Amino acid sequence: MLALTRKKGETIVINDDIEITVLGTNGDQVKLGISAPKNIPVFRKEIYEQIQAENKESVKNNFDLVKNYKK
Amino acid sequence: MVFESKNLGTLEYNQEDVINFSKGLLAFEDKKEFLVIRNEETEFYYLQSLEDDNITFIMIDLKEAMPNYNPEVEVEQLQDLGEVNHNLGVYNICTVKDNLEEMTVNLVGPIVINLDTKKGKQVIVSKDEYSIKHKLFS
Repeated sequence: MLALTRKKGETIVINDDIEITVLGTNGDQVKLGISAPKNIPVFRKEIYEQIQAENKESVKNNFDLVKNYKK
Repeated sequence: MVFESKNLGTLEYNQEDVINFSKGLLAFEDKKEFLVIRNEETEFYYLQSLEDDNITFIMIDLKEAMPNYNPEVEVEQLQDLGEVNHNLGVYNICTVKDNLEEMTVNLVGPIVINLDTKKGKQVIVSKDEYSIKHKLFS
């Protein structure tokens, strides 16, 4: 992993069109500003991990309940 | 063509029924080809992997059950589904355990399928009020 040291207000650029700026720090929290084209999804990693976990859970369904369900 | 699903039994389908997920689903990134099968007369659908007979998702079309569900994604995020007309299906993955009343619906990661191009993807909806484990019936 590439490690870069940046100060508040400084920016890194990824792939010419993605900019990540350190907006500020507060204790162990770092506030980042991300500017990227709209076709680049930007989310907290936790949300990916939560959906991955839920997807894995979802293939262990009780299919009989749904098969026998009548509206 | 015929596919034997562990969960659904024998499925007959045509090549044009196959939905291509170029990025797979989260945690199932290597699964690219799926069939969507409607559970007759209900709002449930199945999403069956054609590469793993054991991978079957249950999905629901929330149009009726939750009409105010309004997932917003940037149109650019749907670029890889091909040209988007109105023929876009939005489905939400259900997790069904011991009883239907307790089933949960993932409102954060809906499945979007362009029914014209037969391309699908799981998108992420970043709205704080939407839960990954939404209880539909309570």
